[in-house]
Amino acid sequence: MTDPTEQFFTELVAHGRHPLLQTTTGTIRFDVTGTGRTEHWHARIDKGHVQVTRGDDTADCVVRVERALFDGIVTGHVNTMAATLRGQVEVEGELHLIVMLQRLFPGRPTPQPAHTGSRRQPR
Amino acid sequence: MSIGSVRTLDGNTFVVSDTRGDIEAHPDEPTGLFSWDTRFLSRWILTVNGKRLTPLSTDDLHYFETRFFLVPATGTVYVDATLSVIRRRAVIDGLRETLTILNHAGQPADLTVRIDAGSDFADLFEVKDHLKKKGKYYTRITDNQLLLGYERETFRRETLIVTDGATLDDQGLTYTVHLDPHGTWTTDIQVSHSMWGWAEHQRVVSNQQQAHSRRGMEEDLAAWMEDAPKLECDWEPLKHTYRRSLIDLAALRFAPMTSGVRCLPAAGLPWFMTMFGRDSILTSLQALPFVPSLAATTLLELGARQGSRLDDFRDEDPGKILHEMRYGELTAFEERPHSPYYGSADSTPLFLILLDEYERWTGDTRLVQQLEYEARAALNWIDEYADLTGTGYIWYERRNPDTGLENQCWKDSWDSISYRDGRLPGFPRATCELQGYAYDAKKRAARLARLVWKDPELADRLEQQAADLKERFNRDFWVEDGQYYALALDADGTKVDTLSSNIGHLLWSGIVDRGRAKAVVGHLMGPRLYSGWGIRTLAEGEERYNPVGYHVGTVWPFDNSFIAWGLRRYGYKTEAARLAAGMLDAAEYFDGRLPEAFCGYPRDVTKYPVPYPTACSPQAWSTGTPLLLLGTMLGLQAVGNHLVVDPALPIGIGHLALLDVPGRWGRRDAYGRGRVQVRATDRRKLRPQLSGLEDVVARREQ
Repeated sequence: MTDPTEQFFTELVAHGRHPLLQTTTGTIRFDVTGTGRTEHWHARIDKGHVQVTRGDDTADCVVRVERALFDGIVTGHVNTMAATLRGQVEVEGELHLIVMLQRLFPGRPTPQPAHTGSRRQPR
Repeated sequence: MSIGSVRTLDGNTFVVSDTRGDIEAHPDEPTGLFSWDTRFLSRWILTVNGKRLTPLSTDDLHYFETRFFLVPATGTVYVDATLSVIRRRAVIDGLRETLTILNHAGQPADLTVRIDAGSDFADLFEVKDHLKKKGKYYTRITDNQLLLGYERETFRRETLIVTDGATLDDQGLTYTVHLDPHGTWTTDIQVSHSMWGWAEHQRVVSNQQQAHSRRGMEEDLAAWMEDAPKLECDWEPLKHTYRRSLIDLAALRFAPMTSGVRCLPAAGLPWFMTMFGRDSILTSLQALPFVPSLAATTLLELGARQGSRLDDFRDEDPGKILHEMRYGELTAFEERPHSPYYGSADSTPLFLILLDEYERWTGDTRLVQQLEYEARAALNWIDEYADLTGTGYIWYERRNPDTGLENQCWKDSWDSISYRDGRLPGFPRATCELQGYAYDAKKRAARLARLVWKDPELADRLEQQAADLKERFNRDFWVEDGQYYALALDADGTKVDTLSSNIGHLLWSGIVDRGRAKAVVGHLMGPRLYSGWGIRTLAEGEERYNPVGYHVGTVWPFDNSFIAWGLRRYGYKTEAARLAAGMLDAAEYFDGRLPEAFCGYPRDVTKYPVPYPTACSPQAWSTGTPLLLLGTMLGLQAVGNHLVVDPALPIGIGHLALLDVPGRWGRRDAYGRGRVQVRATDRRKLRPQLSGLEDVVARREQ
């Protein structure tokens, strides 16, 4: 079974440079809590380049969230902002880092066929 | 509500009470202490010996501070008529209230002073739409604290009331007061609110957060006023309106939860105290020559929240600039899509327009550099996501049919877009002003591409696209038999042929063919659209015209301010001055504070502008209106490194000067002199005649 959280971070790194983060620099750590132990994902963003490690190094922004919820976030089933307003996500530090990074999370999946990127129809 | 309302605010925290300072909220009325779209106090009633008090006066000390002078009810054989009660209230990180009771009698007095306190924790949307709560309430009392709480699953909101010397119960605070002859008693009450609950960690903590203090806020306001240009003119009410606008703009600044300390204007009290793409951008444009910092924050904050994915529930697309952000319970549980909601077809081109105009005024190319990705994504949205029919226009059709907005232009009520005969067109719809914004956005982005991004190919392409769009638009939207532009195209490309104020925005955008400007201006200043106070949203004579209809006949000050800018752009100085004069006259009737909208009745019928019943006030872009009108009267433009001044003052203003206008030139003064010298005594006679201004001018000039 694939692990959505692990897959997300793997793809985040594999994607190469993220233009959306081209002016963003800083470190953000996700403390993903679950059954018994806490997983740490430490992302270093440097002008669009992202490196991810598994340590609990200090970070400019720390996000604490339950594993099941985070799996939902990285698959587009849970909206980060709404979950934060529900009290399910804790964020501390440089908040703009999570504002920027959450834009890489997918949107809510729809039952319709996937969009192809362009909504333009032929003339 | 019996006796008027008093508003005390700081950004998105505000109190609406009656003139006694009491809050007695009905489920569907926006009275109470609100913050982050949640009502944290719905009941806050002061009694002395079981009786409500009578207001003598209220005093706005600052926008965040109000003082209420009260006495025990008169007209009865009440023994304590010799008491005064002063209730001093400030909105500083919650609500602070100081109660003072003065005994004017030579005998001692023993009193029971009580404040009934309660909260329904209503989401503002619940107040607006009369909805029921789904969670449960609790209260806790410890020592000197009364905690009111509400929870639904993990969602929690709490109000904490702290005071000394009171007996606390679930419904309020009771003080047993002994007053000596001519004695004084005073107490402080601090009401705090929490998005997460005090038992929990604070869930979102910015390392830039700072507690506010009264002194800090007073100093901040003083610095804000000091930094703004100084207005000199011979028309006193305009000075008052200007000052009022600057203060209200300060009051409406708020820092979105995740922005740290950076502030942008919230849209309007009480319903829209949050970040709106369109409202924040247009207000920032209006205020650019006065407080350019608002534009910088607006661009950065909206850029950081630019759409990045397809999400039908939120009407989100990659590159789209948000419509509205909300923080309440319905948004938290995704019963509303405002986290944020992207249902706005104009905020994206307007974002580009602000970016360019901001650079013209400030010379801040660094910010333009920083937002290059966002600007390109916005341009891409216009071409790839907004053109729903492949016809080269911006269209809108909501993908969230339950809670999305039907009309995603500034006139966003359901009935705002109609044919002459009153029928409503199907979807998608392409309103005319959206095309104007797209045209202007491309022209301006082309300039930035050349100047800052060093991409002349993109610049050429954008200019070509803009030229094509202008040509296409002038062919497809022109209503030949009326000699104006259609309000919109419907899904078939048929013209939605009503005459509306939207055509004024087209002048601002520059998409109007020169040869057609005269006809457009004729309509705008003609009797069907122009009321004498301002231009109506919809022309008299259209089937759905209604002078008290939100977007179908009322006059919107901000709408008029951009039309005035458009009139200047096409060289119609006199008309722009006339529009400014009518609106500033209206402002005088609203004590310097233009509301969101007022009724469309003709000026010579009502003699004063009739308030629209549920209008927001202060409303950011109405607050910005006098600022932009000062700019259009003085003909302010940032050209190269210079501030160009080309004044055209309305009759009744002899001279007008704006000193220390900030910009890339440092600080410069702008002066204007009236074409006609007017003595102060004449002005009174002149101003009511503005609706027939041309006659007056003609007479005087002969």
